[in-house]
This record gives sequence, structure tokens and C-alpha cells, in this order.
Amino acid sequence: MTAPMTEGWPASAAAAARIATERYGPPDEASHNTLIWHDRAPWKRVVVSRTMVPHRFPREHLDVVRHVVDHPVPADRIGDLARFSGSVVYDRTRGELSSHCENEEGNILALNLAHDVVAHGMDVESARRRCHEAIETRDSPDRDPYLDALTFEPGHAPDPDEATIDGDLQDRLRQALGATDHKS
Amino acid sequence: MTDTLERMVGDWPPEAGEAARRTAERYGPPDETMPSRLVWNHARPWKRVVVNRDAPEHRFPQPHQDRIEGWIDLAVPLESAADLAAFNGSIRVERTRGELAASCDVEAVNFLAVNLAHDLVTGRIDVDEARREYTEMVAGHLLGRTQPYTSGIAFEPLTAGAGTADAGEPFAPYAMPAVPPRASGRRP
Repeated sequence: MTAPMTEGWPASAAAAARIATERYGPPDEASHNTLIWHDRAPWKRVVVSRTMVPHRFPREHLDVVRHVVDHPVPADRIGDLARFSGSVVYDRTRGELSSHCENEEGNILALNLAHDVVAHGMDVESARRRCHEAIETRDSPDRDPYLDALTFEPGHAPDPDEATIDGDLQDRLRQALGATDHKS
Repeated sequence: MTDTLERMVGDWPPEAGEAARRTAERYGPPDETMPSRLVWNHARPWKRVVVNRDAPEHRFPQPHQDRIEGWIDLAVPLESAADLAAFNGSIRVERTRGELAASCDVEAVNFLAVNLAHDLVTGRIDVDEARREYTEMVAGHLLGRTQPYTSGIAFEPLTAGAGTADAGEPFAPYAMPAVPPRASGRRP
């Protein structure tokens, strides 16, 4: 169904687009580089890109599909989140957490472990180990359930921060600029 | 081009349409068009500029909506991720891709954000200094003051493929210890 939209795309990206379309229907938005699905539970957004990004963790693959959820990340857990995986991205203002991987199960796994790191204090080494083991055993009877479904409930979590420009600052700057302009 | 762009943003909120018009005036027609976003690739000095129809509210340093994203190639050390998020929640780091984005309502403030982000990751300033300088320079910009940090990228941005991507490392479950047990002279 996505074939005309992904014409000329690398095979891995086109396959990710086809799988997403089979699961979620036609994309809501499309360009020659990107397909986007909005509000496909449990996802806030699914994005498949023509551009493939080499990623070596937990083993070598190409990042082609991104899954996005609403999820808060405490400030003191952001460093550990970065150490867990460079393909898990936090957007603080939007309150969005996303994972970019070769397929949906990889993103489910990464987001479940990211949740454990940021919400339950799982240490980074344990999260990376479980990620590796889950991928290595995904076709075995010991398949990790973290590959199959989110273990948490996404929650609205934007962080708009706070205003630091107040009337006093504007007055002081206006006076300073006025003085500068007068001198020049 | 004007008619085409007007059709694209005709049903967008007025502020988003205006952001798209300003970007098109500067960089020409967008390279990618979707109902909720327009993308300009290689809009130098940016690697990519994205204008979004739907934008989150951001109050720092004063209330606005983040409609314009400016992307550059930048390698962000692991230890800087938390500092960047603490400095400005509208800075996004894509470590695997080796990219950093700043989002705001005007391009000049995105220049400021990436310039101070660069200062932060290279150690010139800390988080508190970055927030103070950002606040003061945004206020100066609003008052019409011309400043290098709001006029362009103040460091040399790398070109695409210049080596900022970080593919990470495979997990090594059986990594050898640095000192093999037998070399220590002890036996189990």
C-alpha cells in the first residue's frame, strides 16, 4: 500500500513503512522522505524515514522507525537515559520520549527499559544487559515480554519551564540600550 | 511559490503560517511538505529547518510557542546531555544521528540557543550562566539589539557526515577483565 510513497527508498526503510501500514493503516502524513502516523495507541506518533541511521547497540542495525510516547523524565535521570541508548531521545518541553530502531519491537523494548531507568532507578548497565539479552533470545521460548507491549501507561508530561524575563529586566535593558544609543 | 505556500499553510494558526512565510523568504520553497510540517534541507547554516503547525508552549525565557526547529550537526558528550536539558528544554539531542536541534518561535533565538549549547558542551559556561546569558540576550533581541549570538551560528558548524554521528557500542556481555585473574598470582 505504501509502495508509491516509498519508491526509491532503501529496502529496510521501505519494509518498515510497509509493516507500519499493515499495522496502522495508511499514514496520516507523507513526504518523499518521511511517513507519519498520529495517535495510534499506544503511540502518540510513529515516524518512518527514508534516511537510515547506523546504530550498534545492542547489536548492529539501522534505525529507520521512531515510536513516540508522552513520558516525563526527571532532571536527575537524563544522564542515565543518554548512557542507556543514543537512540532514545527526550524532548523536555513536549514531554515526549521516543526510540528510534529497526522495528517496533526494538522500540517497545527500549522504551520499557528507558522507563525502568528513569522511573524505577534501574542502573544503566542492567538496562543495557537486558536489552542485549532480549534481542539475542527474541526467537526463543525465553522471549522477553518487554519486546511485546509497553509495561507503563504513557502520561501527559510537557515541561514548559518558567519565564525569566520580567518587567524589571526589560526596564533595565531598555535603559541600558537607551544609554548606549545616546552615546553612539 | 507564494500561492503554493499559502495553500500549504492556509489552515494553519496565523503565527505558524507567519513562521513558514519568514522561513520561505529566507530559504526558498520547502523541500518537504506535509499537512503539519514543512522541511527545508540544507538551509545553510542549518542542516535542516522545520516549521510545525502544532507547537508546544514554552515559557523560557518568556512565553512563546516553539514553531521553528533549527538542526545542526554537533557531537554532544554523554555527560552534557543533562546540562543541555537543564539549560533549555527545547534543545533536543539525537546522539546516534549526531544532531542537535533548538526550537523557538524565531530563528534568531534558535541561533542563540545552539551557540550557548555549544558553549555549554565545550565548557565555556555552566547551566546557570547559559540560562542567564540566554535570558539577557533574548531580552536584548526583543528590544532590537544586534548581537552576534542571535545573528548566526558563532562557531563553525560541521557539514553533514563530518563525524558527529555516534553509533554507540554493542553490548559486550563477556568482556575480558583488564587484568586476567591468573595474572594476579591468585588461583581460585
